Amino acid sequence: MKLFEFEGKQLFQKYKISIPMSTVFSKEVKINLLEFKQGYAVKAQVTAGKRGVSGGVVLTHSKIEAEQAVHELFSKKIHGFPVEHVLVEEKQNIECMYYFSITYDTVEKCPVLSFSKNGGIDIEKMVDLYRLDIPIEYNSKQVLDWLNSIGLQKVNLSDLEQLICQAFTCFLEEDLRVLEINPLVFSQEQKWIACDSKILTDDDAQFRHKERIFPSRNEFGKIPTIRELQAKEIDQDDYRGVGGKYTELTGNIAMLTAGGGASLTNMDALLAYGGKPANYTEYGGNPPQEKVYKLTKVILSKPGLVGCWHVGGTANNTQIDVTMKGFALALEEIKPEYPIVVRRDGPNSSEGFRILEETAKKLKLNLKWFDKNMPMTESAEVLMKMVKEYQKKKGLN
Amino acid sequence: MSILVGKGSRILIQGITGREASMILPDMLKYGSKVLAGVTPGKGGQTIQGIPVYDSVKEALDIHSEINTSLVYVPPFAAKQACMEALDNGIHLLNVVTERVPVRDSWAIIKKAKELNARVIGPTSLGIISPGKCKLGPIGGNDPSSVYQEGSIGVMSKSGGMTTETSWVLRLNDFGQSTAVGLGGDVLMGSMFTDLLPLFNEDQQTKAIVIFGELGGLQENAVAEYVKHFGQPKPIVAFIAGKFSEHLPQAIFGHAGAIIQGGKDSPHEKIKELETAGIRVAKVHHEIGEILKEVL
Repeated sequence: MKLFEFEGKQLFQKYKISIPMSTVFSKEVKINLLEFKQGYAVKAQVTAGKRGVSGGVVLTHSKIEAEQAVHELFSKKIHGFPVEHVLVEEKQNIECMYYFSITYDTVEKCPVLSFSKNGGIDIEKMVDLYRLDIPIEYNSKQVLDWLNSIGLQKVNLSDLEQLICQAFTCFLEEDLRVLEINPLVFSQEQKWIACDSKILTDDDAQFRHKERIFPSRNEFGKIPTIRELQAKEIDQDDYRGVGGKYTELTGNIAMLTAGGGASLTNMDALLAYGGKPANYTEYGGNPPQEKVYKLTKVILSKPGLVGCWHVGGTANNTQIDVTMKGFALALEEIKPEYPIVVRRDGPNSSEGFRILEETAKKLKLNLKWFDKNMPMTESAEVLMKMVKEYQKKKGLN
Repeated sequence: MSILVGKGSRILIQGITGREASMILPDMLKYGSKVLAGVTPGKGGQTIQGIPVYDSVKEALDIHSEINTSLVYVPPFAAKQACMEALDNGIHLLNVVTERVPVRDSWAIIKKAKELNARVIGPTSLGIISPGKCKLGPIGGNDPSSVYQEGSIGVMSKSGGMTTETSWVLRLNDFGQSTAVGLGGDVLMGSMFTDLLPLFNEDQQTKAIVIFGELGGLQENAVAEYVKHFGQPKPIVAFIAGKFSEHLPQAIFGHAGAIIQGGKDSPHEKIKELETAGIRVAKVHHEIGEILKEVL
């Protein structure tokens, strides 16, 4: 889970990493600012990056202006995110700004520290990223040597190493995937201060942090569509299989895709054959009939569809007769005119295909089905040919 | 010969009495895999489908000293402990099927394995199969030979389901597999493509290697680096899934690694690096078969 800046800073405080004096306001709360002698940094709390360039941060000297800024930020959207919290901090007297992060290096297979002398800007633009792998364990001397080699002038390196050591403890103890401080400020008062926090927690380690509860949030910077909300309900109160993952996209080919890796692969295939997906989904884990039925209904309720592709690999556990029954029930209600291609195999697939054939015949659907003898991604080509004919016949383009 | 698992594999299953492990056990036995013992703390003394269960790895090894491979099938919170126990007792090949292992625990397991010169495949692995010789884990389900047949192609995949689907595309093109390995797509992988490439390169049965990669992580980029640095005696054909995500607004499919890795872990960048290293990358998944015919 991505944490808001103020939540990340609460973790920093727990590990004695200095942060500016601050107050966080929720939308409903009365704004009552403290006196900050050095001025105010008013920051919208959203998990999207590049908050500064999109007006999510306001710097001001006056308390009245700061209060006004808080109200304005609450009425704004930052990269599509509504602002639910605003953090007001004391502005820092900056001597230098740096970048610091800890994450896992996927190739070295260990934590890696990154440091840049050009803090405060976008990571993509950083040309001087210094890296130090931590293959076995944190070693203060090694980190100090590394900091020395970077050539930082006129800053207190042993204090910096201490901050990094605390950050590393925080990274491990809290089971984080990313801990980023940008900017990491060295102040005119010769202090190291974490002026921002970007934290990604490891959801798989939640069982070790039962006391640490962050309210659920929209991490994708996009207000969910009606269909996305409907899909979410599919998995509520029913733990059997997964049927509620649905992301709406702008295309016109309905995608009923099974399996994680297979869904990615098939989305790519559709694009390669000139199709535009109307949505992304992954179902799997042997879902009951109702889940596939509901998911199909959600997917096919999007207006303007010109085709439907129900595709997955050869299942190990997922019962194909059960999932096809759910699919067929939804087809009976919707009766699509546009072409449908199904490619699937696995347990009880022949019964599944019998159900499909019967439904297609009864409803006079433009439906083709294939078992595993048709390569999964090749069936995208079949569908797109049918879609082109359909569009031609309908005078669509 | 094949790699990792074969006729000589003598298998321990950690977490053998669990629901999923006991479901796949008969499939493994039917295939002829030599499962000698299982471990579930507190369930020692039982037998499950004829296989004796012990309280600890040590007790199992005291009786079955031939064990050289452990299939780890325990819940996520117990994975680290189970792997440490297997490693500490000298088992040199661990296949971790458990999903959702915390990254910090994976790091600890990987460190320990490195220290002891042992090999870990997974977490989140679908298993390993050397067709005709040994099936370890759920790979291939209850009818492995419908997809997996002895042959000359080494298969490595970050995605479980796509290990089988990729092997199936090979079959449709009359290729069998030397060994197919579900590597699991975790942030930290016990073994990544480049860890197993040397094994496939040395294996006489393997004539070419197929890699299924995905968006995220830099393990595919490491393949390009490896080939550029060491050369590559056998052809590699790759497929990288997730290209569509680059056509979407970043906000929708933006993922954690991208924050730090500056876009190098995008499918586009991975494909570019692999192709620059002379590796053929299939644009659409099933083209893997045709490309293999061209390169062999």
